[in-house]
Amino acid sequence: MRKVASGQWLVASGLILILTMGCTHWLIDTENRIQVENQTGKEIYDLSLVSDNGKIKVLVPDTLKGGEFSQIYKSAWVGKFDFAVFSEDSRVDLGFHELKGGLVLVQIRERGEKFEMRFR
Amino acid sequence: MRVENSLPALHLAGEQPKVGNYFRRKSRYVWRHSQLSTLNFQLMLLCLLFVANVFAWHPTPEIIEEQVPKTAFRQLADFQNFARPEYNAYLTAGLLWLPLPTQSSLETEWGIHRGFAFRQYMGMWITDNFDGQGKKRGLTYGLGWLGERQGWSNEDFLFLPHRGEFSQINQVHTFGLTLADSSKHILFGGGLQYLNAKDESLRWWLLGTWSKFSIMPNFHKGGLQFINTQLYLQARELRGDRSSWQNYLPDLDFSFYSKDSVKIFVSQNLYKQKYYLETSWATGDLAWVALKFYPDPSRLLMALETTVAKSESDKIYFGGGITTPFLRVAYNHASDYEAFFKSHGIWVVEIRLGIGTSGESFFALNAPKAAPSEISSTPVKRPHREFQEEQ
Repeated sequence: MRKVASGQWLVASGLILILTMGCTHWLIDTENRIQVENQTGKEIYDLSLVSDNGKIKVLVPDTLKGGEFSQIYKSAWVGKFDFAVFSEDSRVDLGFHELKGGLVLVQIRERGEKFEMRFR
Repeated sequence: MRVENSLPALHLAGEQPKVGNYFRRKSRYVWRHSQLSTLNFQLMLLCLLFVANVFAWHPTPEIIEEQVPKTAFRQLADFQNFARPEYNAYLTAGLLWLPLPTQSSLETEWGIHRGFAFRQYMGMWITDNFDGQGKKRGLTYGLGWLGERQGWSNEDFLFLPHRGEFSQINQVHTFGLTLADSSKHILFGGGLQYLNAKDESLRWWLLGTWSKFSIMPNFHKGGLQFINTQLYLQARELRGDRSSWQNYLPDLDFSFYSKDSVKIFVSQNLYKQKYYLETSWATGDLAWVALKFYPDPSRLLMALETTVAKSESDKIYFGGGITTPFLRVAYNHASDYEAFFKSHGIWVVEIRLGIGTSGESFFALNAPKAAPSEISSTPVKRPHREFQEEQ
């Protein structure tokens, strides 16, 4: 086995540390481009995020009939949030999901009385 | 046995080794082995990233806001410690490194936002006798600045922050002028402090130091914010004290915020000014105890620390860290909980520097002794043997 001086390791790890410092955002997307596909039979509109206090932030302000796709909307909301969508003037909660950044296709379908959402 | 015997035959069955091929074969050997070791290294890095990913804490906008006055206090306490009548200059810088956006996700009412908490600081204090070569008597003038940028941003950066939708970036700056007489162990100082938080505020402060006693009041407009008083009884060779039983006297620090809000800090030398027991306690705030080991009393080469911190909500965190001249690695360290948005449960890697000069010697903050100065005592150039023979 070849002997490797510990100094070389130190210099190499230091270089890696400095070179990768502040560069993670080049590798990981820090914004979303979201498109919604309506797989339910009903008309839905305004895919939104819901805060703890019940505030609403609309991510996709489109009205979609069954089977329609929305336009693609850009947003800086990367993380884990509570989702909801509106149908027939009432809010339907979709649950806690993680938006990982990048291009996201959100499919909304009916599961019994409730709506369900998944990423594709 | 059989397999071993058959190995050379296998080798011969392939391409014939040539004389000219020798170096290429050797380089191939080296390459293959170095590839193995880089694989190990990558595995280590992956493990580190995995560990970093598993443990995470979430700062909130409120915590980031509350950090600003704490940092302002810390900067003033540091200023009080390095602007000493016996010292000539001090230089500090630091940069915390968190590689993954999942390590320090911001928690708001909306949910959890992926991003990076950060802390970058820099500072210096220079006197007109900064190399310690000049006057031994009379007044020395000093100029100091400490700056810190801290907060949270959705992208990581080195110089220019992204300032995205949820970014929260605060700055704290302390400026000061000092006037000292090292032969009489007296220093006076004063300056301004700028906090850019929710309510921008410009504070001003005064500093008076005489030997082991030091007092530093801080004001906002006409109102007194707090008074920081130091009673550093421990004998420090670095500050001209003689080494004696007084080495075992404690360092005391009392900060009075208001009538019923006090912060106390005690540092006690346990053995040879290498082992210290330190504790800090504040009314209604964090309390911690630390056992620190400095292999060299100048505190410049290395520090090994174990800490136990009790948070405001009575949670207890065990932690520790290693500090070397340019790098600090810590886990659950009380000082990170205090200075870095109540962070806990994550590994903190900090690229840092903190060095001061006193006369011809170097030291770290609060150190009792100067660093061993072999550089100045050994001759750098020895005459050549041939040169000696000629003579």
